[in-house]
Amino acid sequence: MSAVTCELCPRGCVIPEGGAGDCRIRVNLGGKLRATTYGRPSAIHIDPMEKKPLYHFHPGAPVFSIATAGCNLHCLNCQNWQLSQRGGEEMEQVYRADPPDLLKAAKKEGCKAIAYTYSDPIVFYEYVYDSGELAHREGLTNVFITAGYINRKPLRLLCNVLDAANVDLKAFDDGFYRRVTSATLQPVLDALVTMREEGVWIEVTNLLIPTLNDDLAMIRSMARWIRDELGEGTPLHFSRFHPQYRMRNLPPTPGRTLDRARKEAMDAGLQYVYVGNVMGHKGGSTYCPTDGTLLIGRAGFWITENNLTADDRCPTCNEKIPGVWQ
Amino acid sequence: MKDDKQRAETKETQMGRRHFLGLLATAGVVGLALPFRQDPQRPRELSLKEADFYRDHDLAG
Repeated sequence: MSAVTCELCPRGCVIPEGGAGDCRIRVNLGGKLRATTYGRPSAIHIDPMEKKPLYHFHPGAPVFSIATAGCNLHCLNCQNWQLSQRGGEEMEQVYRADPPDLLKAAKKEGCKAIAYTYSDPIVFYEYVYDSGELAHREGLTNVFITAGYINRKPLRLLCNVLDAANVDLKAFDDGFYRRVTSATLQPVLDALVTMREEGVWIEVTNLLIPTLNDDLAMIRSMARWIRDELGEGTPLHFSRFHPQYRMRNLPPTPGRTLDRARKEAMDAGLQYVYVGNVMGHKGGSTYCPTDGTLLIGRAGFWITENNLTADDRCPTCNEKIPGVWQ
Repeated sequence: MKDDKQRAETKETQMGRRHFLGLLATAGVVGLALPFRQDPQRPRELSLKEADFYRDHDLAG
């Protein structure tokens, strides 16, 4: 029997008969590429949309969130390593949930969206695609929470079923990507541009790790790239690092680092820059970029007030606020 | 003497038969239990009805 090449992500794993790719779940069975976790998620939760985080997409909506084991990145600071750094057969439990079962459960719980999240859903691509297609037919939306390490061709096809994505842009430095995540930067930037071209609503997250990716010059370059390639209205979330997995030697991100990063990105021209993983931070709310009116107030993942007009504008200056609100 | 010898042979035969029956019973019990045994190398498969979607969790994303 012959080896197969997985063309899903830039790793391009050549998988021998009976073997698995770098993600652990894409395997060569009898010369055919299969994802072992299709229809077998290991995590299913109902979260608020703000947890993904998506702040400009159906605020406050409950999202039926699923993940299977496996990931095509191996970040030293992974928060979900017990899920992402295992193969499906290594999990303590899996659910039997083919796409119709998922949809039935999501609808029963009153969810209008399905999130493919927690691990990187790129590795359970076929499951996302089939569930996403069915979700659209049933009137639900699909949100994709990813590190964006995927080849352009499969991504373009997947965009047919995606409505929104939060892409974790881990640093604006290829060296960081290679050292900390085992991936590379350029394919992630390409994926962001592809999603924009395909009309997927995009928000970007950047987890700031002290001394590794918190350099203000790097943050400025990243913010300018987002402004020029994705648009000044693209929300950017700076997220606080907590020491875990194989990176316990560094402290949590200081609050002032998050504040400086937010200011730097706003000075570079981004209009909606948020601070995450910090309860009660001013940067967790949405403000009008023109007159500073509080548009959506948040406490953690919860919405405290929503002052957008019915046609998604600032109630003070009438500025149209970008997003998918209704 | 002859009676003692015969008695000893009978006892041996009886013990052999008991031993055989014991083995047979053990094999039967194990055979019946095998289909219900959980393979510790495999994850536990649950139906969606067993999931608690609202349980607190610390997964990011």
